[in-house]
Amino acid sequence: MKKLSEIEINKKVKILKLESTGKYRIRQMEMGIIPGTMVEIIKVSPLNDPITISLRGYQLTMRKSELDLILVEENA
Amino acid sequence: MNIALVGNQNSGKSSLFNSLCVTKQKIGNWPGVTIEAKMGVIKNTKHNLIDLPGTYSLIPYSSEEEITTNYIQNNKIDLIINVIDVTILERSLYLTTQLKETGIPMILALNMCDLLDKEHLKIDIDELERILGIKVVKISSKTNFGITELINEINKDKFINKKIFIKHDVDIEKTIANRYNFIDLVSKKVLKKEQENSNNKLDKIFLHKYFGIPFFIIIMAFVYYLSTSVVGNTLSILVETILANLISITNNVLVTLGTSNWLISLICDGILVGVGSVLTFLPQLLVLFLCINILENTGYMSRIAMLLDKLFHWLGLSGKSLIPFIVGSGCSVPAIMTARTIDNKKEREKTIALTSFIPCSAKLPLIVLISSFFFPNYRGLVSVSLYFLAILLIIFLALLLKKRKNEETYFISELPKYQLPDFKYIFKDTLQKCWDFIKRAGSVILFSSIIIWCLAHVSTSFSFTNDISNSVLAFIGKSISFIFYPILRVNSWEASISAIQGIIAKEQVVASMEILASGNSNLFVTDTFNFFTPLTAFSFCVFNLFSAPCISAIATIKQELRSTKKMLIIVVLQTLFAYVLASLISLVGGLFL
Repeated sequence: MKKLSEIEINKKVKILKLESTGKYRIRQMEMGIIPGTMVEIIKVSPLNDPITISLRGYQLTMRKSELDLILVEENA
Repeated sequence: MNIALVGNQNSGKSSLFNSLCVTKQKIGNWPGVTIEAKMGVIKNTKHNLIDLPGTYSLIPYSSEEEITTNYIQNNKIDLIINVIDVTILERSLYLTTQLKETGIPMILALNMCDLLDKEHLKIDIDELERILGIKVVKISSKTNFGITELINEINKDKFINKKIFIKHDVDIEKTIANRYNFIDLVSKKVLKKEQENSNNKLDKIFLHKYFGIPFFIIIMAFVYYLSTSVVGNTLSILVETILANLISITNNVLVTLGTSNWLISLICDGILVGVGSVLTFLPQLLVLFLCINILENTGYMSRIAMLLDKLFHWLGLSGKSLIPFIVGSGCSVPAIMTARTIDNKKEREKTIALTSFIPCSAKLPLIVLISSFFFPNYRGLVSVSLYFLAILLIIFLALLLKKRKNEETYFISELPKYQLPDFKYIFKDTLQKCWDFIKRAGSVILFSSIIIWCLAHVSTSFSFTNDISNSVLAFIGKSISFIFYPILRVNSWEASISAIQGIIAKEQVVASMEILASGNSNLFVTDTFNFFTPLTAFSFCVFNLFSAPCISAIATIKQELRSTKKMLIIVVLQTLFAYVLASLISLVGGLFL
């Protein structure tokens, strides 16, 4: 199990668990970040943060600190 | 029938609204990025359509999304048109499943169907209709494809509305997961992806590690160059000429009609000059709104937020704060409203408080006036330096307001696909925004022009006078001119009264100075204003740029913060801050020059 922020660019991984809480956790899930979903880091801002991931056929941008809250499985 | 248009952000909802409606009126009066709900009547029908702000869910996350949820919960809606971007079917259907649960009849409009082939997607409409139990229509708001069919479906007045079964759990998280499980099944059945296609090529340039930020600077510089120098200036001169002619014609007509002198003066010197002053910088605003609209419509604005989020986060703001700041260079009012997309309350309040420091286009006449007269050889440099000063101030104040222990804030937002600008929509929307601006600003200025004209033409013994220095206005000015002494180094009631009028509208400062200099547009050679030195003129400009914004912006701040107290704190602190800064520049500069 690794944090999504530690995964290299363009590598597909599977979401295992969310560590976020409260209202924000609900929003992450509503945007489709649900255990079992495949995600991939695809773009990094020139200043290294935030980071864009691809999931469910669309692109979502979050800060590194937000990706820290998403735990993934590397060898899916 | 009352119909609500609901969809995710970037689903092309506003563009569809424009294609569907002929007449429209805004519920709120101010232009924003679809931030105020717009009302319209659908073509060839009597159905009312309301364009609700984009939302991803009925559990609101930002105050903008709250508007939509509240509206759906508290109003009688006969039909929901749920617009979705067909190329992002999965995520978009999430809101659809929630809307289904409200029980309100629905039509699903699959937008951007013109892109299906390009994205190598195939969709089985009949199957989608069967599973969701609602009518599904393929449309493209950009090409107008399917719009007639959609209107026909609305006119049928009878809607398929079968229940879908998604298990509800006490645990909201399980319900969300259930919804997505349902959607996964739906998309497996109806959607065929022939190959993965993503338009990431442009981001290789615009989000490039080294060139991304320089590109951004070039693009923004170009936008401002275009709006303030090239197009803006040329058109402004044209508008000025037309106005000058209009005033002299009106004057002549009124004289021939034998109108009394005071009425001619009220109409020509008061109303026409005052209202005209708004119109002269309208071309600049038009071009700026147009450019901002293009940046937004193509998807670049989201990249800007992403580019600079790290810097803004360090300042205790969000990358999303940049959009209000950019819009604010046109007009603070829509800018303050755009801040609704910032979901963190503190970041949002700070953004609102700092937005009016950005010199809006109404402050431009003063900047241009002072820089071109006192610094003819460095005109551009002085103008730019004032913008840089604004940026420095914002950074300084943002850091000052930043709490030492930062509470956790989030950025989470969709990165929309790049798309070719939809010019049909952009032109219509830009004109609408400008028209709203004229209506609102025009009426405030009309009202204040009349009051100021009256104050300037009524003597202290309450009779009509043409000698302004005997007027009530002069009396007020004289009794407050000492306040401006530290900035001006002179007691000038004319300059003081002009600065105070900035609170009505910022362009009123220059307009008032022109009136007080008896219409002589070469202000600084007249006896009234020849006391200005380059230094005091610069300080005076600084005070006007950074003190309390105009009354419309103040009202918007109050409305957006829902607090008179917070609004007063912001306005008073801004004014004090501007006063101290301008006095310091005048004082310290005086020691060296």
